[in-house]
Amino acid sequence: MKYGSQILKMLQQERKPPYMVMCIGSGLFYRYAQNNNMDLVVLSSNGRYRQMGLSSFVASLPFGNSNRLVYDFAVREVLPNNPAIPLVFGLYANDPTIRMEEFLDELKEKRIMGVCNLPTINLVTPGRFRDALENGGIRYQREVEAIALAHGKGLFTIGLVADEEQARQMLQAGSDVICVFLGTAKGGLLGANVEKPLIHAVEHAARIFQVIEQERPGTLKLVYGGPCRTPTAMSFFLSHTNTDGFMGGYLFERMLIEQPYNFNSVNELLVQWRSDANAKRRPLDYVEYAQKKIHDEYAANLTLAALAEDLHISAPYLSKLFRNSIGETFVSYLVGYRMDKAAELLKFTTLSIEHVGASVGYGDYAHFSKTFKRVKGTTPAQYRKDHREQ
Amino acid sequence: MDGSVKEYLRQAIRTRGRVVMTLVNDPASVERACHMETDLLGVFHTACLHVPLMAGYLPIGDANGTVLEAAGTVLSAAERLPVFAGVCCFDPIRLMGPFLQNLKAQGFSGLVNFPPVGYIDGELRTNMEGRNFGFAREVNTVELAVRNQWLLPLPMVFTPEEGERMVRAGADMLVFHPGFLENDEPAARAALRACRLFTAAVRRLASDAVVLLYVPNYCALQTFEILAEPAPPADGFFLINENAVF
Repeated sequence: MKYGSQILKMLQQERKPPYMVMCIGSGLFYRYAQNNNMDLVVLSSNGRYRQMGLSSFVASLPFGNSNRLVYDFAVREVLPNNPAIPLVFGLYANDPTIRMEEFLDELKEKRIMGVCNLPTINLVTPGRFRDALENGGIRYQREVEAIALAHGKGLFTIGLVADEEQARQMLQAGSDVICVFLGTAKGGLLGANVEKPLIHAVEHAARIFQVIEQERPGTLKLVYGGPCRTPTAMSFFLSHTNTDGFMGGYLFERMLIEQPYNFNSVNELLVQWRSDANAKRRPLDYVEYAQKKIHDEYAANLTLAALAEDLHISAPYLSKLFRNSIGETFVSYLVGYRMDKAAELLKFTTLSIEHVGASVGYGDYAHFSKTFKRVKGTTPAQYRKDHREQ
Repeated sequence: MDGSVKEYLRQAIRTRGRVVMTLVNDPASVERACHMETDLLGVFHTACLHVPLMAGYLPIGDANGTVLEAAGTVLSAAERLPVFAGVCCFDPIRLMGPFLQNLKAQGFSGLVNFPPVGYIDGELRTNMEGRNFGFAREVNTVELAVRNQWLLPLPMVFTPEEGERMVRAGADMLVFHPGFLENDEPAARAALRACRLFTAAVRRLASDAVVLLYVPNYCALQTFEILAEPAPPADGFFLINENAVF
């Protein structure tokens, strides 16, 4: 059975880009994936560790055998439910305790249709420690070999790459899909401390995609991790790179569970993106990004400085661009947008005023009330009363 | 036990200028180790999984759980030599207090922070420190072991700052790890130089602290011994012998 060509055909004929690939760590999250119409599922140890309340990068440390961990929950929690979404195994290729060939056969027997080199050694960035690992024979090359072996067995393969050279190696190994690994992501309850600036990540992915286009045109290209963790950032990748979709773990968990009120549902986003064919390949527009970020994430803690960091431009410059283009300052636009949202909630829901404030990014009730009065000319309580009576 | 093991190690350093720890994983390897020149036995999860030391950092096993599993058979066979456990101090899914108590109850004499977090640099280290399972965990583990007289710590550290923190936590025997070395003379000279700075820094804080320089087993110890002759960089060398398990 050639799962590789079978899944590629399925993606191209029955599904539409942007493709969504969800990294999961339990049976429950398989159900969430199904409910949210995901295209593929990656069974991964980082997903499992998040279920345990730990950050994704824990998956590259010696607290368990990654392959065993994934195999166990796959067999106990996912496979018995006769899964409809194709399953991809997050394979730790540098594991000297398994016989790769037999292990891959076993996965195939269990009807796991593909593999992805996750966790990858790329979680260890170049430096003293990476050098020491490589001197000890722990190398990216092993991941390439595992993907080649899996490809040879007819398994579907996603090659996770961190640079152009790795992309070339994975293409040569026959990887069906290339996914650019963008590093760890900040934010949320389990986020890491390190994250590439968004603009760097976009440029980095675009460079790798260029290599892929030259070497094997038409290859499916995904991005995974790093700053690609909000709908705004995802739209940004769609409009500024040739990405065909996203692989994500914590990305989706945040949208589905941690802060669902901050985001449209994954389904809605997909509908929006798939219908918006023009979303592709537009020139870089900083103001549009800032505005969209406000619209998508007004409830989060947004600062001009953080946005400027995302875009890798100076805060004063972004401030000037914003004012010139929108006609008001970033802060006044943000506050205005939040108060409009608050007014809607006051009008159409019975949420307490405190809750309404929190829903638009104000943890402090007094601060919210004062700001609302300044912008809308009346207190939140009075506003609700006035609009109820009509 | 603690006091006598410490005295035993000081004696070994005085007479031979080195401490050799031989890794074991079962009674047969203990038997083999006893026929080698060795001062200590060590149970590291790498030896149990039959992988090299550097693979100790990889997600291929539960480091602490593996050591605990091997403890029973090893300790019942090891009668003559003190046994040290390799403890992965930054393990976020294990309570260190009960774990150390358990190791003591099984009969371990001491601990080595293995794999040492000090080797990890770059983004992974920043993320680990940010999530509060970095070097501070190793310091806490040593502090716990000393304060409760559970185990004699033999921490492996990479910088003078790390050494100072371990001394403040109560460690009085330290292993300086020079990082990855080529097996040649310039590398050995560089390691000795770094070790001298380390020893000086640690001695300023505790004049009687014992410092050992870790020499990886692929390096020629003789080169180190010859180069160290005029001005020893430390009290002695520390070697990890893997030949009893491979």
